Amino acid sequence: MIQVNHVFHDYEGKGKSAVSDISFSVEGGSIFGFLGPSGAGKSTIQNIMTGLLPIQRGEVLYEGKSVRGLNTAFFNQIGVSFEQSNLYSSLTGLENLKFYAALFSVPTVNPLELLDRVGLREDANKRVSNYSKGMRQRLTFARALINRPKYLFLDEPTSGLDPKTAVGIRELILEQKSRGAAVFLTTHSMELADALSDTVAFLYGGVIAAMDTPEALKRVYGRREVRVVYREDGEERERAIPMDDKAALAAFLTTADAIKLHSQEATLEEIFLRVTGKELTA
Amino acid sequence: MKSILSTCMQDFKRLLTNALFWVLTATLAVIVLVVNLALPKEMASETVQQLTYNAPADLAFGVPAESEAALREAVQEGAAIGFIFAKDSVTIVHPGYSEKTLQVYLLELEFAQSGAMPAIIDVSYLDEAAKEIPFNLRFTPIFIAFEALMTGFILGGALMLAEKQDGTVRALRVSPFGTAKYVLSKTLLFSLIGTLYASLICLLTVGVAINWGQFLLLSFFGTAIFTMIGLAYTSPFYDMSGWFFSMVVLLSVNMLPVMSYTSPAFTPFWMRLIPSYPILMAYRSAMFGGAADPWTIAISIAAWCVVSYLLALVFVRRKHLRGVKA
Ligand SMILES: Nc1ncnc2c1ncn2[C@@H]1O[C@H](COP(=O)(O)OP(=O)(O)OP(=O)(O)O)[C@@H](O)[C@H]1O
Ligand SMILES: [Mg+2]
Repeated sequence: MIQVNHVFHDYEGKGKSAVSDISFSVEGGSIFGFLGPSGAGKSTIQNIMTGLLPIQRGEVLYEGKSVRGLNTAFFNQIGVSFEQSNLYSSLTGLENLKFYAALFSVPTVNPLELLDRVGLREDANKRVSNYSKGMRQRLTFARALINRPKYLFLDEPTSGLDPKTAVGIRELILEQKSRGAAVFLTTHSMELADALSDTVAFLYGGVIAAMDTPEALKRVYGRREVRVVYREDGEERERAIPMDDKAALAAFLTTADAIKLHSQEATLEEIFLRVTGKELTA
Repeated sequence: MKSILSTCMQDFKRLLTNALFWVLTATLAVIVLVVNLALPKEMASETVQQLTYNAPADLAFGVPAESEAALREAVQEGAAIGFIFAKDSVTIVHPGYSEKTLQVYLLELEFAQSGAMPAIIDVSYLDEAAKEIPFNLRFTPIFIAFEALMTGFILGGALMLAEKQDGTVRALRVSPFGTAKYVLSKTLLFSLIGTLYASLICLLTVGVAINWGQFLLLSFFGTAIFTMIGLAYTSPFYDMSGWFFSMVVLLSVNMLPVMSYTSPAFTPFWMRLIPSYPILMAYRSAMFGGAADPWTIAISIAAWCVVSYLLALVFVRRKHLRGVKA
């Protein structure tokens, strides 16, 4: 389990915190979706958790042990996929993975298998300098999985990928979860977070504005609605009726000439807007 | 160990696509060609003729010139030193010899005039080792020290800068690959390359008859020292331009011991503190024998290995692996 307790970070040391009083925990075998607009502080938190940024205030604990005392054993257990892909461009995709695998003193995954899973098998022996942006991103993602990490950090793993590849990546992330990994998923994409996360946190302006399971958030903040498409005066019209207002719904359906019914849940996107009053634009 | 060797291999593959690597390799070929073809084996100054004009007939000294003008012309061409005799004086015409050299000629003239010329004059050179080194080969240690041994400094730095540019240094930072392994893997790679280059230069110029044990050890640890200094030095840099410029300054300071190498009389104490000093001296004794005190050299080089390793550890950790702006 990863625990983040009351973490603050001030880049310039001038009393202006990029993130303030951030607390949450990620259990093994679960996915924690960390959502927020650009500049909210998502990468800052991920960098503090992986030891890239020093902890200024607060604490990050792995199975109760502080990240301050990071050692080789810890780094053998984490996998990090970065926001910007960072690979050896003069090496091939396969060489990148083989090299990275050799850095670990724990068993690693067969690089070719991983490449296969992210759709890069055929480009395994191509130099990364000839890879497209999406290909690099997939390779960076694959690299994060090479040591079967117990703690997996993913910063925007599917942005800019075509739908088919994105589905493959989603499946891989879910596999990591069922393997027992604690997955910290940073993203702008409400849809991805909704589909994968056990818990989501909305980060806005450096603080957590809301945090719960996606279902609970929808229950609390969202309104479940039924949209009725009906015919009136020879025209198609539409009306939304709250699902819990059963009387109104029944009354309307008995009188109107209904053509289609949609039950609709509020999306995380809408909830985010309601919680923060701010659009979450990618 | 597995991770160190694997890093060596991948750094080597990265080198093969690096232009600087090929520039340095081409320089090696140029050096071999220059030493063998462009530099003379002996300097012309050793065949200076002593010309005299108007010398007493019984004087056993020099070769008479046809005229004063002919004498002056020969001196002008640099192939002679002239002695013009007058009633009570001798005028020496020379192309710019030092006072000391002129004293030697005057002494010889004095002997000739007094008729007390010793039958045999034996010349003994203070530095026995340097006596027989052909002129063109005398510079080989310098070429080796500042080409072969510098590959680690320059190319190690270039690889580090590329890691920063690619951002791969951040991937290394979240891996179990520590600073010590990082420094050792790069140092091992370049020590092997440096030793190979040094051996090639030596084989293709001086030949096989040298002290190979000393030569190989020296090349390996010499390259290691410069590689580690280079890693420490490059750590704070983010791009090629600032790094390259200041590197040239640093390398120039490191070249100062060449002065002491060519003129041993000029060896101030601070000169011995520059790492290339003991290395140059050790190369000379490995390749041409004599002179250098093996213990002083071994201790200086061992000390530099320790110092440069510690410097590399501290700087690479603080400024390269951990210090990159997140
Ligand atoms: N190295 C830095 N020095 C100073 N300020 C920084 C630095 N990195 C980030 N910040 C500031 O900290 C805040 C949070 O940045 P962060 O990169 O964590 O955002 P993010 O949520 O990851 O955004 P994005 O979605 O665009 O990646 C921003 O206001 C940013 O300007
Ligand atoms: Mg970010």
